[in-house]
Amino acid sequence: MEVFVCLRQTAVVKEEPKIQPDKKGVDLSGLKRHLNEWDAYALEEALLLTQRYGGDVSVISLGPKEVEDVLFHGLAAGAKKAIHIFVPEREQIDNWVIANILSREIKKYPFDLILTGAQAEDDGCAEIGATLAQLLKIPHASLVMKVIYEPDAKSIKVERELEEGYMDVLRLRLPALLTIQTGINQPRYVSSLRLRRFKKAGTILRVSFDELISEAGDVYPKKEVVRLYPSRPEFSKVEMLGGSPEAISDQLIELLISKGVL
Amino acid sequence: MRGKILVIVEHRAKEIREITWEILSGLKSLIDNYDMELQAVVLGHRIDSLVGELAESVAKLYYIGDEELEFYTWERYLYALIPLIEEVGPKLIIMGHTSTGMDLAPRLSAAMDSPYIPDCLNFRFDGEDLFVTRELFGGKLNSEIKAAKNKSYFLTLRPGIFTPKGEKGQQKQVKGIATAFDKKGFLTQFLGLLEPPREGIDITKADIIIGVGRGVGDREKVKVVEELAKVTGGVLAGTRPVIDSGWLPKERQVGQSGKIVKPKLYIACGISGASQHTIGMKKSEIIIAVNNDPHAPIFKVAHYGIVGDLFEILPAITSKIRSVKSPR
Ligand SMILES: Cc1cc2nc3c(=O)[nH]c(=O)nc-3n(C[C@H](O)[C@H](O)[C@H](O)COP(=O)(O)OP(=O)(O)OC[C@H]3O[C@@H](n4cnc5c(N)ncnc54)[C@H](O)[C@@H]3O)c2cc1C
Repeated sequence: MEVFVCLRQTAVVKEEPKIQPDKKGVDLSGLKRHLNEWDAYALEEALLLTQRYGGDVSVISLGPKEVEDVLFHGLAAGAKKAIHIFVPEREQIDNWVIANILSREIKKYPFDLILTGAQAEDDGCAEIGATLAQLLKIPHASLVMKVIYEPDAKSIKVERELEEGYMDVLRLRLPALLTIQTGINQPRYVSSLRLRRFKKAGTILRVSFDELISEAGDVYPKKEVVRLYPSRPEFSKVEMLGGSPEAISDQLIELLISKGVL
Repeated sequence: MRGKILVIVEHRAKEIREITWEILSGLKSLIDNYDMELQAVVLGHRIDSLVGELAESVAKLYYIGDEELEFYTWERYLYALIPLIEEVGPKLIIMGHTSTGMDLAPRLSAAMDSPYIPDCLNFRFDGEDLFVTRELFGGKLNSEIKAAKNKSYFLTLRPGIFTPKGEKGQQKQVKGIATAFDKKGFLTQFLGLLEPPREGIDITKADIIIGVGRGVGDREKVKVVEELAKVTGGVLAGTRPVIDSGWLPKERQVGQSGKIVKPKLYIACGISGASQHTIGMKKSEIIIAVNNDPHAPIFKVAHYGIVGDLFEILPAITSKIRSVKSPR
């Protein structure tokens, strides 16, 4: 089975992310970047499926030069092909444009399955997977926690997570798209030595964003960021306990006793 | 702004889901200043009792009944909803940012070539322009977003931010809609609904819960938190990554895809405070959060906050409680 995995690189933010002067984006300089948490599970599931049933995994990502790091990670983990659609960092493109561009590129290849993460850590939109499925006119299931391939029927059986522990069991005709939820597997460890080896010798197919646009026509964002601002805790509402660990413990215990919980 | 708002109702196991009541109540205040009519559509099979209940809460209810719609699948919902939305022409189509909303809204909006903005905290119109607020980076930033001008917009609203008020009016008009499904053409087949497993301890019964987050670092170090649980007589629970990594069993997961808990005391240790977690614990009576990041969103729901390394703070608290409980 031929499986595509869409990978997103996300910035790891600690403390408060720096907002750009125009307030429309986050200043990513100096921030560590990594493979979006959900996508790591999607990649692993693709590798497990192809190990079990045969076939190859291709990884694809859209973004600035830096995203090639997650593509090399994909190759080092076992993917056979990596595609990079270059878009400069500052370009204001939304998930609608991303899904359109991905669909135009993926369409050029034969595939049975496309996997994406259920959502991205940075925008938490959970939007690209189902949008991509609609653009490709293939069935999809989101928040998938189990995949069973049914080669004779050219279908897959999946369990998808609902709220509070409920699951739906579905059968999808292939080709199909799944968005993968964390916990479905344990993503494999890729050693830094191996990663470095692939960064030196691995090949990435570089595709031009502009060409994909000119081949199939313009596609415009359907939403734009007007303004970003920090969402800080309201320190008027939360009482912060300070001092040494001992002093904090004293305050806390007094409090718990006064509230009758201890 | 004038026009209609169409809410897509969620139900499971013959019950309307809380999110639908939240949205219906929340919308009433959000559209207070606009001349907008609140309508809803419910899809299902033999759900007359739900239909009656809903018809008291909206100006107009559409009921699409078909045995194919007994359970939600994106495909049947999509094919049933597109003709209705085309006919009604709502300005806004709204669902919750739930497993159903995440599955359907992006796809339905794409099929209708309309803007879609997920997981919104609110929305407003400025003239004809639609603006929404949503969060980025797990709640560290807010983002104000403007939708490209269109005749209709799709939004999902975040669960747990509006309180259902249960206002009911007169039962309003219910319009039944027939479907014309091509059953053989379906690519997605519903096979069954699995109930949550009922094994292990029931954390929803606990008075004191100590929440373990990824900040605890690894399975071995959960012991530090466990000590605190022991001296307080509390039970350990965890965030999704903690369960995914096998540090704690699944039945101890708190949040949207875990359990909703309301203990007397919840101590969040190394938990960032993602909305999918806080929806499961923010109704606790007293919430204490320990996190070494002063900007951690968990401090937005905590009553008492401690900024610091949990490996220094927790042992100090534990030994203090021990000495208070058994004074020499
Ligand atoms: C559909 C869906 C459903 C979901 N359902 C759930 C759910 O039911 N429950 C749930 O929890 N999540 C759920 N999630 C995941 C959720 O989005 C978050 O990823 C998750 O809650 C984060 O867990 P965390 O806070 O433990 O980890 P992180 O976000 O990684 O936070 C770790 C925190 O620990 C702090 N820290 C690190 N070291 C220390 C230290 N030494 N001392 C003190 N603090 C420290 C850090 O500052 C950070 O704030 C769901 C996601 C999706 C998409």
